[in-house]
Amino acid sequence: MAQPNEQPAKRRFRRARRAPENASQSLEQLRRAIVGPEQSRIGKLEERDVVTPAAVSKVLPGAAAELRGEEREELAVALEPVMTSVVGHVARRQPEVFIEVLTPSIGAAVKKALSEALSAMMDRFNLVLERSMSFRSIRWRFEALRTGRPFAEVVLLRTLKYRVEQVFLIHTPTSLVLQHVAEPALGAQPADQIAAMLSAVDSFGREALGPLPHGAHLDKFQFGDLSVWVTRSAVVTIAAVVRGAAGSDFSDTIAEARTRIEVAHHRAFERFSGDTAPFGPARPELELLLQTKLVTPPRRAHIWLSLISAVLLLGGVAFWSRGHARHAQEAELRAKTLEVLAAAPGIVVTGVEWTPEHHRITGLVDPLAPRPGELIQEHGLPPVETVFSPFLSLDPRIVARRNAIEIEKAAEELRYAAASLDEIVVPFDRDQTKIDPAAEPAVFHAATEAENALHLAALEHRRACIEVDGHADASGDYGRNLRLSGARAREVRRQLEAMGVEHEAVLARGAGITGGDSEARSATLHLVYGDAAKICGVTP
Amino acid sequence: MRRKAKVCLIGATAVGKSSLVARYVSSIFSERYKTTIGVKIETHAVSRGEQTLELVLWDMSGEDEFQNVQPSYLRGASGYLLVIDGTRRETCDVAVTLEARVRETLGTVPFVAVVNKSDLTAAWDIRPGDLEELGKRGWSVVLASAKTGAGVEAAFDRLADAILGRKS
Repeated sequence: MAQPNEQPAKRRFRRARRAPENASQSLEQLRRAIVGPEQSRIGKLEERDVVTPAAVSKVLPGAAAELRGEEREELAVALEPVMTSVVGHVARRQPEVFIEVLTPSIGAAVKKALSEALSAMMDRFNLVLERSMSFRSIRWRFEALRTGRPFAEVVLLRTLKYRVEQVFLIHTPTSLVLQHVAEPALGAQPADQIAAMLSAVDSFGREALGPLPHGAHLDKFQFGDLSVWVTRSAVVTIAAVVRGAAGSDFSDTIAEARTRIEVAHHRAFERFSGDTAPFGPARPELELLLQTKLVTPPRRAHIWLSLISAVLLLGGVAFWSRGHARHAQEAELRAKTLEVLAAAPGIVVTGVEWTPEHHRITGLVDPLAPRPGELIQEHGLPPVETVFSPFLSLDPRIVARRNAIEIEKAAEELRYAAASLDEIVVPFDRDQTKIDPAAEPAVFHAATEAENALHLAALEHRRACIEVDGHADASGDYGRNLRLSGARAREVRRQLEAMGVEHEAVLARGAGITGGDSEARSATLHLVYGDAAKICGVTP
Repeated sequence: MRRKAKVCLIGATAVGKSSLVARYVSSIFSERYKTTIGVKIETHAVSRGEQTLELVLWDMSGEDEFQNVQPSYLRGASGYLLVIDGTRRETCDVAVTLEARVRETLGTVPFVAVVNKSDLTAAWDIRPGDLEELGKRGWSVVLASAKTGAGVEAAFDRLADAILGRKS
């Protein structure tokens, strides 16, 4: 009788010992008794299908498709390194495949990126307008003045929705900080103390307030506008210190980050013995959580600001256009004025001061040139202050004009000299051919005028001579009077020669009887020049 | 290489755990974080050749009839200091009890028994035989004084060496 607490193997062994039909049978029975159950299990294992790659390929797609939520995320994170490696390999070996795939979508991608960039730029522009022009902005400026804080800090505080200032990656079992990222402005933080205290507070809460459901942990606590968000698993905890009011979706954000890190670094977590270096690659994932969200300005503010912007823009364009047109007009007048002055002979411009309020031109002007101010006025241009100093221009037109004036002046002087010579009368006594001493001043005067006239003619390169006409009265014999008049002319010529007048330049001629009074007994002088000078027989 | 380790300080009430930590760690942090939840945290780095061990010190509240050491505070510790007051023999018994309790929670981890107030040996209640008894248990015992600083660094260093030796 078997004992109630006997092991089944022992009972089977005892029964086998009682019925030994033959040796082989007994051995078989003994084998069944000792290893019977194990043989059965081995048989079942052998009957199972061998796991082959083909078998795995059949079940893998279905299994992947059935994954949901966190499991799917874990698979994605686990496959990421493999997929990255595969994509890199294909890109290097078969770039044409990538080109074929990317070409249809690259245009749309660029367009979308540009559109988003423009949109972001407009949003920033609106935000800047909102912050710099709104009534709130004025209030914030007063607040900055009152509190002594920088205006930018006040604006940030007043427009901040929330900002993640610190993120801790914590090894849950030991509460040790594996990685810690923080806003640079925060400076050094006692990360390990904070993480340990978080763990202690969590433990304290669970034990002091318990009993709590399994898995219930401290997931958020708040001090004023500062809150700490915690997500944890048995292996890893992420704690984020947030200033402001983050939405409930932030909890999901850090939980997703925790899952990704946990999957990506699961081997490092398994082997963790205090060395935090293997978790360095998790920093970018943590830094992504250091977000800053600002309050979006109300839409009406956008409209209002857009209107103000539009008005300012139009005003600016109008002002610019007006200024530009005025500037262009001024430039045109300036160019035209200078063009008029440059075209005139004998005017040289050396300086221009041309502002909308004042126009001033300085330079040099030849006395024979037109007056610059008058010239500008003649062309219908606005008055300009002209400051010109005199100079002698070598402009051919001015030189010609100057020569013409000189010639005219010389001709005038020559005409004057001729007229003066015509007025001289050298008187003679009756029947006398000698000059009376009383008439000597007239002779002297005649010599002076004759020399002057001949000199002026020479300057003009004109042939000239002095014609001396002798005269006699009507009393007496005509022939004798004719000879007498000739002798008187020669006497005057002789006197002129004695006084320096060239002999060849004086032509003496007896004019005969010219009257009956004493004035007829005389000699007169006349300047002959130009075509009439052919009679002179002298060369100029 | 830089490593981190969680280290707990446990012992009966008023044996001088906080004083030992204050002597070991010059930081004003603890003064700002005096806590009512049974623990305060300090950090201190120990260099051993090319290795640096950053100790995160959990200064636990004293064990008495009203307050027990919370097992959750102990979890994840790489080692601990078991503090005894040399002028109170009963704190040695508390230490024996605590060591057994910690072993239940953490398993076998390095620890150092620190008999504090070595500057008051004249007033000691613990007898040499008691220390020998602790030695027979395989405990590493260090006499120290938080007041004078004697033995304090040696106690922490011995624990750090044990942790590094265990991990390396």
